[in-house]
Amino acid sequence: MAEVTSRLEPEVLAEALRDVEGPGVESTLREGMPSVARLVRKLLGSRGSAQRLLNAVTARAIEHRSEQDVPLEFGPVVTDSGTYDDPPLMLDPVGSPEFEAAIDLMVQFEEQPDESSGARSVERVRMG
Amino acid sequence: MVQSALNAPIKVMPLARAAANGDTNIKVQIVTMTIELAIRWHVRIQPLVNRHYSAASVSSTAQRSRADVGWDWRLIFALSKLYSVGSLAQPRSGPAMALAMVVDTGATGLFPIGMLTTVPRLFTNALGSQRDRGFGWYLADAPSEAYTSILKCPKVREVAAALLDCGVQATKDQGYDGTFLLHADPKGGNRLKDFYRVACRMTQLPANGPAVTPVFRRGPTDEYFHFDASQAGAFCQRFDPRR
Repeated sequence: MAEVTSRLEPEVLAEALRDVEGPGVESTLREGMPSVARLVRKLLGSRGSAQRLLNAVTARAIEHRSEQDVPLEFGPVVTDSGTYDDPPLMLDPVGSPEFEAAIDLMVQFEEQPDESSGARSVERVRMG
Repeated sequence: MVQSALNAPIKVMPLARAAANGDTNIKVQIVTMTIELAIRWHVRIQPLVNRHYSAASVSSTAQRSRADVGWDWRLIFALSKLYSVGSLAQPRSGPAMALAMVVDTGATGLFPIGMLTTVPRLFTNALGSQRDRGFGWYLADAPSEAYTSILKCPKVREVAAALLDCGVQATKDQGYDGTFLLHADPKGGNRLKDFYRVACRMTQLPANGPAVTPVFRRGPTDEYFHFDASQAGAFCQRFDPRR
């Protein structure tokens, strides 16, 4: 329990519950985590109350953190010169043309298994 | 160095081409997600996703579709935390974990290139078996545009697959066998399903099966994908040299 609660700051949760439930929540907060957990579970069980609680927790979590402080660029990154025993086909980020072409090719292999043309095509994607 | 969130984390990922110094890999860390990392994703990466991609309809084969268009990782982070608190009142399943794959950028700190929420122990009904499984909840890799416009380095490959590995490792770290289930958001289109089914070799659940969980996750069962312990082991093995 301690591990879980330490990851959501107790004051953030308490303030969010006050925002959603009003002053009536104080007795639950005084009772401690088992009662708070039951209340959170009950609130998450309904779409409307779950959304209100989620919005309240998020607002409380970010209220003292400025998005303006996030740099526009980051770096430099730390690279590595090692060689690794990787699979023949490694995918680029989801949605990229390379990702979509590779997935299409894999599906094509699955539908028309042909070892010789498959090997050539995999190599083409890898180099792409 | 921040403490890893996993016992056997991936530490090096492949670049799509050599960096300026000739290296072909990048060092990464798997860390517990913080609200600061969620904010960094929300203000720097999410706008790129929203600008350059669209959500697909289930049957669409249109280019450049991603399931995470319009996502807000600050909310997803908070949801995982609330779910974890609520799980204390219902011990049948365990708390969620929110993880990030980050790169160390020196003075500008840790920057996320992959985000994942997962439930390492969720009681689920799939393929005729009711049991505890790891569950992949939300997963997103940084789009290509993040590397060119923010990090100024070549694209990192295999991040989505590596995040799936993180989900499996998280459940194994808690003593389970790696059996794992996830939901492919229909907004990701058929290529996302093909990614899980063909590239990751997961088993797609049959259509019209029983609900995966009794209360939540009552959607179409053929949107879910499953690893048994053997499949999960075979899948994760590809990353072993990089741990």
